[in-house]
Amino acid sequence: MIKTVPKNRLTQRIALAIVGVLAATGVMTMTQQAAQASTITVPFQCSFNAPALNAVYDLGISDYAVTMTSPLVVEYGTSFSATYSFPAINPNLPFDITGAQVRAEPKIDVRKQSGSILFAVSSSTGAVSTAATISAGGAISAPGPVSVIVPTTTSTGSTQNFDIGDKLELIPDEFKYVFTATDDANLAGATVDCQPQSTSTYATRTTVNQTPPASPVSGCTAQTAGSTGGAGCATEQVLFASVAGGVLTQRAYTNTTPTSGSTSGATVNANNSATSVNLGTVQTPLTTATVTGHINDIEVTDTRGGTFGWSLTATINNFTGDSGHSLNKSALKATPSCSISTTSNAYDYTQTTPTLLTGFNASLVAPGQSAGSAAQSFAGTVSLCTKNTDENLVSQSTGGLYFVQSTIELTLPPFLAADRYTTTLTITLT
Amino acid sequence: MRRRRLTVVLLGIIAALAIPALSGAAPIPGNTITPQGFFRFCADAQETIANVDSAKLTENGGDFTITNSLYKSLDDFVYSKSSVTTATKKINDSQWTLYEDAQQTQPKLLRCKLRTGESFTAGAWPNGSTNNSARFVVEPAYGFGSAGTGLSTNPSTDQQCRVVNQATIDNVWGSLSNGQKNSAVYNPTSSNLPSANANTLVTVADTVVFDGPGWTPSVAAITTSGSVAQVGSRALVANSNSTGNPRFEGAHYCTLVAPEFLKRVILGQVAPS
Repeated sequence: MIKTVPKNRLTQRIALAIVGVLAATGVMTMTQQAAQASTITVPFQCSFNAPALNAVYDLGISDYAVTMTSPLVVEYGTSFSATYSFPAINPNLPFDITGAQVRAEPKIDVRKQSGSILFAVSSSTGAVSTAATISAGGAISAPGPVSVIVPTTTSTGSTQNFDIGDKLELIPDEFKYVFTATDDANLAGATVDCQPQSTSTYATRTTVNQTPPASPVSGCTAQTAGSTGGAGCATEQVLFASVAGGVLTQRAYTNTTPTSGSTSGATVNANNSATSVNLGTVQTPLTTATVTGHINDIEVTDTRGGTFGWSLTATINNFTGDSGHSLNKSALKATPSCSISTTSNAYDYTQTTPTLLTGFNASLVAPGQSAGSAAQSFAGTVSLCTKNTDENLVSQSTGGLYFVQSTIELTLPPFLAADRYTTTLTITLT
Repeated sequence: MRRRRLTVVLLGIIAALAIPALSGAAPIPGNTITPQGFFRFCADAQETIANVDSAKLTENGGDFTITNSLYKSLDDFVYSKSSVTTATKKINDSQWTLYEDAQQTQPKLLRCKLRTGESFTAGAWPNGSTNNSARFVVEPAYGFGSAGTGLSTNPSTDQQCRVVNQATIDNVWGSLSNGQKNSAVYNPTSSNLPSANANTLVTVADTVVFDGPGWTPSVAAITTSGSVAQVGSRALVANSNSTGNPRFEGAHYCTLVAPEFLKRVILGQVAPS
């Protein structure tokens, strides 16, 4: 018998306690500011270009980490900044560069979320460093961070303006150190060029919001004389609707599928509650025996209303017998499945018994869930399901309902001592 | 005092006599720890090896350019190949530097992937020829076809890599003070010096291989034979249409001693290796 213990509530309690401590010490302000920005760190690979010498030096530098930050929300019609932060870079050149003055030049591409066509490109130049000698084998640096101004209404070469409600993706492009001066004319125009090294798209995300009028007009005069002509007039009423973030929960529901490889006997061979797993009874085997059953079904509900991932994992301790025998936890393996809930298993998490949600629409659930691998041993932590930060394009959040199941396979060694073996399966949602 | 002056005069004459032998060849840098020397070493060697008519190069009013791609990673360098870009008339060479120190401030030996002079007038690869992979893909052409006529003043016979090494010896020796020459451990001139006999620093004929695996293994920059330091080169020469695998053809590779290491050996600061 395995007892199941959902653990997410405990985790949440701990998180709340931590937030309270942070707020009391003043760290909360910083946390809130960080939460209002979208930040990514992108690995680049770099080369040293010396155009006056018709030479390019592949520096073999990869994973050069550049961080880009943009605001989560901007007002329509107002330009905003995406900021590049970057460490010094060491090209290991075998010569001194005297009189070196360097500046950083980041560049970003802008597109609407998941759009295929880039319709704006912005670049910027940072401040120039004071003249100094970069010693042989020394690092190159430039004043930073550097901000790139992104217009929200139009841009050069743009075929489409940003609209209110658009979610913009700011994609890091080439990042350069530019030598604006050196004592050696052969290095005129020299640069360190860094390109994002991954083919997968990295992007920060910024949403364009409407700016409510500061003083809405409640009355106006359309005409002052006559009955025709005139420009008409307009009044304004600002509409507000707020959506508060919800919860991330898990709830177990009884899976009554009978086991295979065992019979009803001292225990039944099917689960009889959401908190117990019954693998049935087997006779002490002559050779290795296997019993296959199911843990109870778990539904993860995420209504946090933002961009968040999560992970569902499981652990057990070694089995212990009523008569003092034991069975190592590595004897148990799990093969989980994880899918977006359907209208036949989308349950209301607030109800302790399975209660289908009315009007559930699976197409509005965010994708990006993936089950853990097959035949994972409980010798360690078993991954049941993970959800990445892919959003549903309609809901614009990572929320949804996800149905997690898992078969479990218990391997019994030959001549195992007769006993009733028990352990507790702890399922953790983080 | 009189003897010292006489020595200087004789060396001056030797240097002057050497110039015609290098006519048309690039001035090989006397060091590789300046931007010019580091970034152009193999490009300058290219001029020498393929007897390039320097008047054809953009810096002298011509329309051909020798570009140089340097690699920090030996693996990347091995994957790279010399090539041409016909539309812009570029000869594209590759370079990798072996250093004495972990900080990579003291070059010891350079590897250069160059083009043969005969390849300049060769045309496109046969249709369907295999190219290199990923970022090492090159234009599928040996050379510039008829547009390359005259780019090499002697396309049928490339110079040996030892010619470049000899120029390096000349430049490094020429850069030494009289005091340094008189205390040198090795002497490339035909005159005995106080601390080194004549002709104790020489180049030797290239060791020529014909494929990459034969060229890539480690090689000494300088060896010794008795009291004589020998600067050799492992060369790879694969003329156009010679192997049936065009991406390896039109290639003339050299291993070349780094001027800084040569200088340190001459001055007895490090042993030949």
